[in-house]
Amino acid sequence: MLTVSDIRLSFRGVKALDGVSLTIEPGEALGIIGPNGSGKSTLFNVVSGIYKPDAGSVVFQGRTITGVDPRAIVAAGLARTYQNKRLFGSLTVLENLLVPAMRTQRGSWLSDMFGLDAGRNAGEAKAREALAFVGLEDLADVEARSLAYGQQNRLELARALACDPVLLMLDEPAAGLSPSERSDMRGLIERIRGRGIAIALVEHDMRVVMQLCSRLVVLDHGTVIAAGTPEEVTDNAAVVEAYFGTPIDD
Amino acid sequence: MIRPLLFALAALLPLFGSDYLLEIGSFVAIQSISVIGLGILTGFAGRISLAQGGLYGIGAYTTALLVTGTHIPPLLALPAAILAAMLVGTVLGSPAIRLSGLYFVMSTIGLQQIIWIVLIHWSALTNGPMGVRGIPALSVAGFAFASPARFYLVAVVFAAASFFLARRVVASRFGLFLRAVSDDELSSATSGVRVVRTKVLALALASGWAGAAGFLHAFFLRFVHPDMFTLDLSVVELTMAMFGGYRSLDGMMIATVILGSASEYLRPFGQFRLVVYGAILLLTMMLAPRGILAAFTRRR
Repeated sequence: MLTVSDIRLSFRGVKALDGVSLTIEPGEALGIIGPNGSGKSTLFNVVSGIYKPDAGSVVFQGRTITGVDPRAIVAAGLARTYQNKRLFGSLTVLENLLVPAMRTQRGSWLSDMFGLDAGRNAGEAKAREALAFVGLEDLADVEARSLAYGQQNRLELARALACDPVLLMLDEPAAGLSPSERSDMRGLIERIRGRGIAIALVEHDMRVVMQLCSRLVVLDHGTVIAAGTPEEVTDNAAVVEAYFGTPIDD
Repeated sequence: MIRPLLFALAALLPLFGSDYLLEIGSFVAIQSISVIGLGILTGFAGRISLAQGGLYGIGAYTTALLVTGTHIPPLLALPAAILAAMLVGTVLGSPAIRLSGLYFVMSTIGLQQIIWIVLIHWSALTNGPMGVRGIPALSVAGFAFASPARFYLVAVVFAAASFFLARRVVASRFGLFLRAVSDDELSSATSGVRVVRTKVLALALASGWAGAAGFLHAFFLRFVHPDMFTLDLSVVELTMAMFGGYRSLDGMMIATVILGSASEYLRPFGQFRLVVYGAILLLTMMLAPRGILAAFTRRR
């Protein structure tokens, strides 16, 4: 459903992505791992339309979306979260979810303005459903900026879910969470997968990745150095070298 | 319920107020329209504009030139004034709306100056530094709102319409998108919001509101001059839009009343009244940086 082919992107001569290719099948959970600065978040930014790559193509459900407006990419069914939480801080928790939920409703804001629009109720129902999914109902009317860190992670996830994705790209959803929050998050992601939504997961916690993903891609210095099942990847010498350096021979 | 009641109370001023007080009241009501419009852009969309006074001038000049140069019914100048201000604001402002923070502010100062320069130099159209005189009283179907009391009532009705319409705008999904864009443009886009279109629409609405205020201004003073619509006016309106609470239409109305009538209640300070006015502004910004209303009402 997603085919990324030979993506190249440099920032002032620094090669952030140097020919990255990968595919994601419908309903699959793909783990994308690699050391810091290996290009994982940059890849997400290219796929979600924030960066336009220098070369290469991104094809999503048969449609080339390389360098397309981010809004059109969400509309096509590809949503994402951000590693450094980018919530709407001054909006309430529920309003954060209403933004994507209302966007997909029919009817214009002018009719909404004069209370003529049924889309309002449908949007609110959808926002509340996403809210309940991540278990933040009690905080619906709280300003998002005053949420605890773990709650912000869940709100990020809910906001992406309210975009009605068929592919969800999660950028370190478990980073900074306590062990119990981490297992909650893993449960949420499993349930999302259970709905048939494909997942691309960038995560440093290998346990979370191993439990959720059937296939891994390893990035280092902007290139794919290994791909395969979790077992194949962890046995791969190049991966070990990328993470731990070259073993010293006796 | 309290808001319609307050407007109704304001409409009772002619029962006991002097003509002078009614003129101050009219001025405050007119200015509140422009301030509310600016508030949509500045408070809700987070785009600080210093061109509102100029766009207000576009509305005033469009009205003045139409009613002195043609024989159209005065009320028809209202849609013309709104559309003219929206056209100028949107066409000249939307290339700049993509700019962030201070860069957008600077470009609006440019827009403000362009409008003033055109008004004062394009004499063939605007009568240049002579201004436009001889604007008749506002009349609808032969009924003239010539006396201060009658005009005041018209101004209050317009102010109320502007206020309640703006309340609907910010309560709509568009208002939600405005606040989202103001908080984070990137995640607005990846949540499906048309970021640029939302900002351009906010600019268009702010301009339209300024145009409506300009329409009333022309009939209020019955004379327009380029120097009425300088950067000074834009600064005053921006102050009013921020003073009361940057995301509160109530706050903007209160601020317009407090600051717009200051020349009156500060009269006891005589020659020091501008100093007192400045001190009020300074203290408010220090003690209540998010506006006077925010200081009195605790957030949930």
